Amino acid sequence: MKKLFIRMGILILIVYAISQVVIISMPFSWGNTRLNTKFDAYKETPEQYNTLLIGASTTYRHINPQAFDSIVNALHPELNIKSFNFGIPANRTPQSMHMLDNLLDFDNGNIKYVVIDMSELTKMGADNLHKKEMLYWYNWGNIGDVMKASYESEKGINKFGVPILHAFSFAEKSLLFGNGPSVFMQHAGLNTEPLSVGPDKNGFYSLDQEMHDDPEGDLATRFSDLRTQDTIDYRTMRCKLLVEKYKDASKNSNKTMEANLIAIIKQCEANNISVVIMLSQRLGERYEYLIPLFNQLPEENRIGFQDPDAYPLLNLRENLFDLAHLNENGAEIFTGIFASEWLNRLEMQDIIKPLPAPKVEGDTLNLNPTADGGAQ
Amino acid sequence: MIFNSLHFLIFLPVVIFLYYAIPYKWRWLLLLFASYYFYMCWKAEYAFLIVFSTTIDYYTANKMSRLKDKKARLPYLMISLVSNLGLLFSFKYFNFFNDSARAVFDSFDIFYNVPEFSLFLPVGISFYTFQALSYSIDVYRGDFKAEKNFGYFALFISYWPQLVAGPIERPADLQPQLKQNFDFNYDRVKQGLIRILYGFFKKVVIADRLGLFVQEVYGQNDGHGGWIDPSFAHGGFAIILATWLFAIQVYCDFGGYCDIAIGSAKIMGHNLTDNFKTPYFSKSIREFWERWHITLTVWVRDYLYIPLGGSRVSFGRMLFNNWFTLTIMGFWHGANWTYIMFGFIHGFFIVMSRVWDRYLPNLTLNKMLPNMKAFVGVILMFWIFNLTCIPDIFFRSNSIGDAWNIIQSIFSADTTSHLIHNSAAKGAVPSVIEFWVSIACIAILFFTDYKLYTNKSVGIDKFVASKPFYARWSFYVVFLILVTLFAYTSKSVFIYFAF
Repeated sequence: MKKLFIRMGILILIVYAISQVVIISMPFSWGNTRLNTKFDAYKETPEQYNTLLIGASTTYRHINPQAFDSIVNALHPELNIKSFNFGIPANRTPQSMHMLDNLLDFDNGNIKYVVIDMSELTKMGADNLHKKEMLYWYNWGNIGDVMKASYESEKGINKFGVPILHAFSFAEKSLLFGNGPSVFMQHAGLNTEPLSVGPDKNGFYSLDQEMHDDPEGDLATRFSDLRTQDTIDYRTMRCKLLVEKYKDASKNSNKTMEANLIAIIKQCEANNISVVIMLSQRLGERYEYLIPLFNQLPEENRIGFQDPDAYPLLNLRENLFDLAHLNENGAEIFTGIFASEWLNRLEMQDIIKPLPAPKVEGDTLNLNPTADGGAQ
Repeated sequence: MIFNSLHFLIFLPVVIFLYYAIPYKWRWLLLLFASYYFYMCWKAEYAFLIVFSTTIDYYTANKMSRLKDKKARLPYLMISLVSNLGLLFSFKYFNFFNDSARAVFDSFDIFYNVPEFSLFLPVGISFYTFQALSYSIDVYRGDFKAEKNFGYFALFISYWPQLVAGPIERPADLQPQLKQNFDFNYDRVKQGLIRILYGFFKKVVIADRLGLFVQEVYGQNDGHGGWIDPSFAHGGFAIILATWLFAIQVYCDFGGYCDIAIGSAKIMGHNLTDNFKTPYFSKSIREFWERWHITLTVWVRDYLYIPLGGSRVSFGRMLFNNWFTLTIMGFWHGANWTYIMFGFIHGFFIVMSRVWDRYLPNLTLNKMLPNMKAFVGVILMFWIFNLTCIPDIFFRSNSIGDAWNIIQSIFSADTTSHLIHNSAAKGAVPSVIEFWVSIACIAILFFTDYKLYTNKSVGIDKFVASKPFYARWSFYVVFLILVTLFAYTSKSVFIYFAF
């Protein structure tokens, strides 16, 4: 039996080694076509960007780098901001960290500012198994933390089930299980979705624009089915209750993720990179574990949009595309609010000096009439 | 439980480890427990049917074994036949006959109100009832002694590697092996693993991938002889291509299952019967049935064809026996006119080949071109492959109307390009890549099967194990890489689970 185990071990090692060679032959973004497309666009002129906006769909659909850059540079031309939106639908926070690691490895010292949107931690269901989008980002460096973090944030049987699903997905990734055709696709230059990088090629692609480009896609259904006033009001009310319930919570913070995020902030600071962690609006039940974690982060490194009362414009039907996402108009409003909040954090980090008080009434940046800062 | 699941990848090593770890006298209990667990993972309550069938056959066989007179045994055989065929009829065929009767009564405007059975078709019922029947019939005939130990007998009926999709084992072949004490044997385990690896290659790399393209054509039929959406209708060579791919899919799907079953059993020391021997290298339709689903063919030959008189009757009666047994074999696959047609057409081909051999013995390619054997062989193989694709159209279609629609569509505008480019459009990878991966894998399958065919080897396991070190390890690495990299990972069950 020993002979069998040794030979099977050797065989698995050979297959593992071959898989690793194949993985190395591809960019880190191979498993997600949108990310791959964005990375292709970014790496054409990486030296022109100094700000990375990383996160999920709430970054992808809500922050327009062009508007963001012009607002920020108008107020602080010394920053000379040129941002790129790396938001990817359904991105988990560990995936964002994986992206950041790889983008900074690729960077030649141009990156000065990073925003990470933590719209989801480690959630993983059996229906996500085998999908290359769920596999590509695992590595020996993050799998332990991902399993530990999911153990901490899950409940009941999922405390064990979800870490096992992550471990299984990691094993699948390590052997590139079922991903041979994707490898072909990558090397044949077919792993791309040109429209997803947005009309301005800066990674921002509003939901309205995508629905316009693909009128028969799923977005039309989402737009018509999920955007009723009742469902919007229900989600807003739910978010208010959850925010109220967890606003001061810190006890149930996911310690592994907290340690990871703080480590990223410190590492980046050591390299003169400013990091701001963002918590998006209208995330519903996810606030149960996101707010306690958010509350543990340093104030100067976090921006929270979770409170519907603080940002009513972001919760109005006319600014929403579906239950959780803003439409193009909403994204424009959000970008303005976000720029303002972000500059405020840079002030707190002593990167910029506060602007002198405005001489005239009606600050152009005060796009949200009821919001008074809104930061936590 | 299905073989192409994470569940099985955990189940197999656990069972194998325990099998060799526990004392020999408890192995049957472990395997029995594992077999019922294997089955109950699908639908626990339907294990009752196996228990029912096992109990009846154990009782009747033991009664028969105590009676010397064949006539006295007959009532017990009848109990067994009625019970097993009754189960099969109730769960598999009742609704078919009921619907057919309703259609007949409706055509005469006669009120008919027998309700339908709303029951799931128990997975593998056709396989384990046939295995149980062969046991009862062999005991009745005196060919096999009834098993006294209920546990061993229950294991013979439910033995997990072949429980849900065969091979259909004969008691004389499997039962004695289940009692044998097999020590761990490196070479045998290695051969079992080779077989499993090859089975996974056939199933998850080829069959599941080809299913995308087959579904693209056959899945567009509405069940009533039309296309669900005429704008997605297929025609021309696309139909022929999809049918060729289906023929290969069903071979790889069922053949792959059998390889995994045979390999799993081999690891535990048990030799199961080979169910496929490179069937698409057949040069005649009769040879095809000697190579395709062998255990079913042999079962039908021994328990139906020969009792009907076999070939020791008049020529006309022999033709009828051939045609009838093939039609029954078709009907065994499922309660649908399409399966009856599948068997009917194969029966027709067999009849035609026998008539040709009798009346036109010199009018064969082999005799007309005696110096071109290799060329003639290739032509005949291609011809027989295409011939078997005709009944496959019925086999894959949901209704006779759909099958006709498919056949008629061969003569309409060609949509091959659409088939290749758009089949897996909703998947993560463009279908044109999946298509060329499929073609490359079919080429590998063809090469491997050709090697097996020319070496007259009984299985890939022995063939590979007999090769030198570098060739063996090349096989391991290449096939393991193919399975890991190119497994089609969407959930799919084995086609023959439905039978």
